[in-house]
Amino acid sequence: MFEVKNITMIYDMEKSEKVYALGGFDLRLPDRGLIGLIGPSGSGKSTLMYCLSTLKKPTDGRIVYNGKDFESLTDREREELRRCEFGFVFQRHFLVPYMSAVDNVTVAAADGSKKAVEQAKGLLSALGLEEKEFDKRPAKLSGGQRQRTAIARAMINRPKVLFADEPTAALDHENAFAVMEILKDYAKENLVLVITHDRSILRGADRVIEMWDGNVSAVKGGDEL
Amino acid sequence: MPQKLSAMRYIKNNRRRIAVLIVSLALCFVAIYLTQFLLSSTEETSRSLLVDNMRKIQFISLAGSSLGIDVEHLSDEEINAEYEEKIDALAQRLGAYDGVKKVYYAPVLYVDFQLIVGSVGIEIPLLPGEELPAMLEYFDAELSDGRLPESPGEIVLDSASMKNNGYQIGDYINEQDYGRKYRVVGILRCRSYFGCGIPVDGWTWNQQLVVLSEIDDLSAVLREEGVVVRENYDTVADYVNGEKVLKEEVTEVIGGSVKIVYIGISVLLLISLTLVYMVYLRDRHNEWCLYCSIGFSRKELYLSILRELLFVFASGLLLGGVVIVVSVIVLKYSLLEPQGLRCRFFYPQTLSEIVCLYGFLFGVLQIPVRWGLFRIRTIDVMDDELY
Repeated sequence: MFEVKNITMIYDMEKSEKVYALGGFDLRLPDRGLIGLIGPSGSGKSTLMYCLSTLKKPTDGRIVYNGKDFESLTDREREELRRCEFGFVFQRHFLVPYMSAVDNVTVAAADGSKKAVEQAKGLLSALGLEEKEFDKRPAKLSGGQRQRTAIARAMINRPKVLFADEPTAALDHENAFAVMEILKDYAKENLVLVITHDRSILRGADRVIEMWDGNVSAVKGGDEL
Repeated sequence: MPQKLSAMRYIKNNRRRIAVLIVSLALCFVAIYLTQFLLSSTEETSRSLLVDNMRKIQFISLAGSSLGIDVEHLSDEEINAEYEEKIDALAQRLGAYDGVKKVYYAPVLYVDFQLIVGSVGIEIPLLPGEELPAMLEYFDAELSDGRLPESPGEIVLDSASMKNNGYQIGDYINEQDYGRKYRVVGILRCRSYFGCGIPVDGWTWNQQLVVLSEIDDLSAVLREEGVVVRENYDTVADYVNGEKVLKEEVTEVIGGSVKIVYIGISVLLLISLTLVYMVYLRDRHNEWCLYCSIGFSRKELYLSILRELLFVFASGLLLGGVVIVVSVIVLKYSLLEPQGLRCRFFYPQTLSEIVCLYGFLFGVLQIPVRWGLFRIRTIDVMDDELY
């Protein structure tokens, strides 16, 4: 699905001391499966995720997704990819404060029909939200509930690739594992890329990519953790 | 086809905030229109008094010197005698003109008429009793209450003027000016502001030529008769003069006042709306950054903002329109009509100006909107800025 060649991302290009967020490495990601991205802060995990999701353009190198070279995509095509084929769980949920949990999920839905609302409710339930929470606004939800709402929003269009940056950060272990089970289940048919500091939740992942200082330091199976 | 960004999502979830915006816009609309409506009642009433009435009756007051009397060298008695003689002759000559029905040389009273802004005087000719029925017929007026004047010092007034002054049958008019000399004995039903009566014996104050005619420009007729009307000495209250007075003393003054109110409200609305809108844009910054990150284009965002704005403006205009319709009806029947004032419901020019103002505001608000859109970052950039 993804073929990454010599991906390089340099911040502060105009300054004399350049910051290499991604140091130029190759990577291949499959069509489906749960891929974990771990590494310390500043190791380039998030930058890699943003590059793979078209939000960032790498300074150098190529990213090919399903035969499409990102370099050749127009802004509109990039937006369409993000809209129709990718799903996002951002580290700071970015829920819309005036919308209910259900509305926050359906806002990303490909269609605004009743079916989308039912689908959103089903996802929220599966992620452990009770029905009485559905109409609450983010300010009335706990951190964990907000996180789960953000995950439901990312999954509403059944994207082919789901990018999740610390999706279990605000959850206790029990709920974190429950959410990971849902993501693993989703990964049976799609690609799920999870960034985390918590190695324990990546047990059972199809692959774990360890990053260090902007480079891939190791690629392991989830059971090796 | 992916779903569009719905404007209604924000509107439904932020009813109070949207309602405040809509009500503010509606109230400004109402304030501008009602100011026009109320101030224009002054113009409408003045038009009837100063212009429409003058299509039927005109008043000429001439100085002795304008009639060629040597006021410098003659005694008062001689001046008066010569004046009487010359004015009678002029009245007869005017009476012979085409379009002139009758000319009287008679005293004229003034009855105050209070307007929303300022006041005007209604001329009440005082004629011999036997002339009054013809006068009423000429004005298409009929008695609705009381009786016609029979004795000196009795007058009749139209119902609107009665209401405006709060007079009842039996009241004395302008007591502070005339004392208890002129008493209302009847109320007239007629379309004009009109009144007439019988002078008290020996009353020679403010005698004028009262001309019943349909001539618009009596000054021109007087000129033909060899009388040159001089602005500071003579008065010719006819249609042409009425139009001039209406334009200079009413329309322009009211137009100026309306403009001041209009500009004041517009500036206030512009400042407050821009400030409110900038707060609104700031509050929604993260939301729009999210939309951009998950694949909505800036164009879609802009169109959704425009739809929200259009909804607010259209609702403001609609609500304002409804409030205006109710308000003008209520004001007409509770404030204007009880005071005998005239009004017009529909001011198309004001409405078009308000729509233009709203269009202008809509245009100005594109500046903060475009600025808000310019400031949108995708979430990766926000993360970069954060760390």
